Amino acid sequence: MRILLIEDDPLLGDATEAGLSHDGYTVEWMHNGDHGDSALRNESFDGVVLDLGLPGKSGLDILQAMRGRNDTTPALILTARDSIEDRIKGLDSGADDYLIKPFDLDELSARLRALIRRAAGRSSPLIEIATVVLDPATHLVTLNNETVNLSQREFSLLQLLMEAAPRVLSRSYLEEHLYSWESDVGSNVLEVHIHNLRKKLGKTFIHTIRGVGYRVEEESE
Amino acid sequence: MNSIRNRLLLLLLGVFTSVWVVMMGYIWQNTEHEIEEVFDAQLAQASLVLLDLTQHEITEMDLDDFRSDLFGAEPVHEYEKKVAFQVWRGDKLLLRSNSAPATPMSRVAGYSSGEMGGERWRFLHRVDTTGVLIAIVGEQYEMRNELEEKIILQLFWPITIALPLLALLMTLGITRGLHPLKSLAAEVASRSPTQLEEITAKQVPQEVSPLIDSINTLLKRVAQTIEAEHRFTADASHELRTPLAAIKTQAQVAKRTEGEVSDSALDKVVEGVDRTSHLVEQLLTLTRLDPSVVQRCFEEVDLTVISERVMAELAPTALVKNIELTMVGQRGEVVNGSAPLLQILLRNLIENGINYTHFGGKVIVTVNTEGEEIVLKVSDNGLGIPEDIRQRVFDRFYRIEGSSVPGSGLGLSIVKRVVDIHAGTVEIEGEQPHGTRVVIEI
Repeated sequence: MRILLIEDDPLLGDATEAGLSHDGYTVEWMHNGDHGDSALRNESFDGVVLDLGLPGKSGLDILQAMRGRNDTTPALILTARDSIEDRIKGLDSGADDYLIKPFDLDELSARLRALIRRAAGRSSPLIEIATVVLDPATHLVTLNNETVNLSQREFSLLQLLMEAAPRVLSRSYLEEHLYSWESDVGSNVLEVHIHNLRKKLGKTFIHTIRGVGYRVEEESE
Repeated sequence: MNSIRNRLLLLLLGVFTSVWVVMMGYIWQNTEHEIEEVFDAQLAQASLVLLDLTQHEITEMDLDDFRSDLFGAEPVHEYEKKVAFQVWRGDKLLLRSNSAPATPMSRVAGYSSGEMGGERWRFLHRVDTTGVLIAIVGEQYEMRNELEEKIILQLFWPITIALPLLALLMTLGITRGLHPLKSLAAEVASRSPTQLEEITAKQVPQEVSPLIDSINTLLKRVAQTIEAEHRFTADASHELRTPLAAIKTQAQVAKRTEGEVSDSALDKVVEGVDRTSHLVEQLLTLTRLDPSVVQRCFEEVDLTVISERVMAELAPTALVKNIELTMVGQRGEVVNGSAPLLQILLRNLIENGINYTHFGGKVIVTVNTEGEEIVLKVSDNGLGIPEDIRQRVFDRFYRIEGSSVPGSGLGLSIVKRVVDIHAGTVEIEGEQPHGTRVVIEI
């Protein structure tokens, strides 16, 4: 899951990035509003976490611009302003959720999960396809009710594919959502992860669509 | 009790009573005099009649046969005892009233007063035109006094009875007159502490409207102060939330990770706490800068000496960044001010100079006199402040965008506040080719 974090405070941004990364998110951190806005215009994210009082474009401006161009990426506001009017203004500008500083890292993570789930159109917190069940909150994956051990990356990759099912996800989309810009991605790292997943979940669960990408399907052939 | 009603009442009653007493005194005097005149005229009239009658009788009959029929006659009026007469021919008593003695009542001609039978009398001793007959008439003073008393009492009683009635009416009148004050007091008393709108009493007497105006001015100032305090508290709590969030989140990261990541997060927790403490300290400094308190402790302060002291304190920090601290100026540049505050001002300015200047830079403090003013300049060859935001940097919590140096955004607000307290001016200028110069005139 790829998250855009827009926060100008260096210590808070650093901690949020570290915390969310630890929870398996891929985090892109922008230090000011302008950079955040252009990142949103040029890339795709599964969720946005943003501060309201930002240098450059303000959080509310970014939200309004986003919703104005029909970008439905779930957005969560982090702010120090706790008045009802501020909250209403934030939600009316297009935010999906609201957290007041100082917040709890677990709560932020949970709210992001819920936002992403809702954006994907699911109401159950568990993603279930064929005999594979994935729990985004606990990072547990079971096959025929038996726990499967996955690495952090494998889990994230599986989650992306299962969330998107039955759509096909391109290689570049997957790479973008799995690795932040700073990390160095080897050319066949994705293939290695797919290979490992197939080993653990059975060969037919993940399909390769030649020249396009990968997908998972309800009906295994 | 210091009540307007009671004071007015006492004052009015006092004035009224004094005027009345003076008037009574005047009337009494006048009455006494008039009564004296009237009674004396009656005596004169009586003596004349007596002399006239006696003369007539003497020519009619032999003097030896002359005797009074009046002797021994029973009095017909109780006041008869209070009047008396004698008619003498030479030293022979021809005629006298029952109440008169056998000796002359008065020996001198004209009016006189004297004792007779234990009473005070008024006499008239009158000699007729022939110089032979003498009529002496007398009258007790008691008669006059009685009349006087009666007249005075008739004046006195109605007023004595009227006085309490008057007091009651005045009390009612004054209470009614003071009603606008009472309703004003009720209006003010019924307000809650947050209700600081203007008082809009309509039927206010002219005398009270300056009071209402002053109260309104005060209310306005109080409202402004409270508003500023609210804004400040809101700003302050807002500014504290972000560093607190950073500390909390870093702590949570440290808790759920291990090794290097955890250690780094813990270091950042400490850094966050330091930053927050600095912010709190700056906030406290700012709130403590109450001009009315500080200005009472003004003294002669040598700016050069203080600059040297602050520079010595900050020398270790400057050394870490290899920044050269220079002082230009002679001792004896004395201003009237608060030494601790000027020290805070200089520390903020020099610290800014050090923080926003690159490794190996320079910070120069200059103190000199220009005309009447003492001018303090702190300049550096650091990052500089863009011209368009040189005024905004004095705003509370304002931080220059993209500033990488941690700070509270309060340092220059404190500087401005201290300069204001010293009734000075502060301006930010650019240095060539880059850098900042803060110029303060006191």
